[in-house]
Amino acid sequence: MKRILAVIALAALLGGCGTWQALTQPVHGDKAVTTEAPAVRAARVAIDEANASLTGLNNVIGQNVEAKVWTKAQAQAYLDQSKDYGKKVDNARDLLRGGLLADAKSQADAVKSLILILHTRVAAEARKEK
Amino acid sequence: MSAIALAKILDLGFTLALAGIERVAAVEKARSMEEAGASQDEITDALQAMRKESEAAAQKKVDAAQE
Repeated sequence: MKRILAVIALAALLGGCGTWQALTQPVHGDKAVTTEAPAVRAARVAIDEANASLTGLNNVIGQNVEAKVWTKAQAQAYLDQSKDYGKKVDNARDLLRGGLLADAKSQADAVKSLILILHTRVAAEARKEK
Repeated sequence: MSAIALAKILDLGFTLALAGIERVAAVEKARSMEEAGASQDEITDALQAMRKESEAAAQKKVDAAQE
């Protein structure tokens, strides 16, 4: 029994590392060529990563409601939250266009943190409902 | 740690992994555009469009679900 538990624990650990890596994998590669100023680049990267994470979240919400893991009301609540974060990312994009770089980056960073929290909540809820 | 607790961790990990896999598709799209020489604005626009499409697709599935 102890051996089985050890194997499961190892799988959870390895799976956890892979999951975290997938959830936080940078949108832009190391070799990306850019002529943008570092402050513009930082704001843009934060916005792009927030959009990528929200796309992943929306797809999971759709899959969970389609598979009847969640009720319609639960899925709608999560989707509303995701749409709200999406509007904040759009707002960050507008700030970037307007040259308010620090505001754009801080808004996108704040949304990124909220998205990670929402990802964890969504996953925990899906587990409870199974 | 009990086997049940470990199973719950694996289950949670699976759902998070699913979210990660779905996110990877957007990351791959951005990187392939980068390699193809797209401008940074074009990549940001594409990621924003992908997000909006995913919102609409998820909303469609929620609307189609039974109460």
